[in-house]
Amino acid sequence: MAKTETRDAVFEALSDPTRRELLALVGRLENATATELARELPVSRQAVSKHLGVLSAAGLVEPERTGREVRYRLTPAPLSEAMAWMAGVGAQWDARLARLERQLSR
Amino acid sequence: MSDDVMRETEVAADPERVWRSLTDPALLAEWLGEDARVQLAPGGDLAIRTLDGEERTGWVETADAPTRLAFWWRERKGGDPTRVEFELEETEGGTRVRVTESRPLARLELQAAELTGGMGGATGGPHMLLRA
Repeated sequence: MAKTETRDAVFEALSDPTRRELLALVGRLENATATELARELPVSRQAVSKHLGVLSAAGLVEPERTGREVRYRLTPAPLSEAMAWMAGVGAQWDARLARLERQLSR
Repeated sequence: MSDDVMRETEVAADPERVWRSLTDPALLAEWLGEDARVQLAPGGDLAIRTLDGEERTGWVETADAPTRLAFWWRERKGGDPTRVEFELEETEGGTRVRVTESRPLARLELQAAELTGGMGGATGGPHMLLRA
């Protein structure tokens, strides 16, 4: 893939908050199936599969088929580790600042 | 590419009040974590159980009331030490709150790995995006 295409694919893949959360989750759970990942998120298994497809096309996660199961893990490159870290930490601060705003609006 | 996460929001409260939210254990319990113990001075100890369920410990780097609070923390059971900085700026309607969390040490390790020519077996390399 040309570098601009890669960058666009990564940018597009991370534009969606659910996908950012999913990417962070793939980093935390390591080798989880779509069903296991869906259990941790407020979206359906079908939606998770679709999001995993986008993350996989962007080279951020990779599927591994063993028998009838497909397990997902972060692509072993520092980039995806950094992306997962940023996605996870970003989601944490979003939630924290929302709570801080509530406290200060009282 | 830098590993910085930055978030910004504006709240309808003056910087002094926001500062109390950042430093008072009873107020911290409502939005960041419980059982906070913070020594508000450079080098002071910090411990908190975040609402995400992590036991975090660290130390204060800067505490300039009511504009700048910077500290380093890490999960007690391991994990990367990271640096968190809050910047408060008074605005017409209240305060702009900016928080930045970064991993300066991860960057140092990456640079060290590049200098020594190895990436510890990783297949992509730190600048995969730029080289691809």
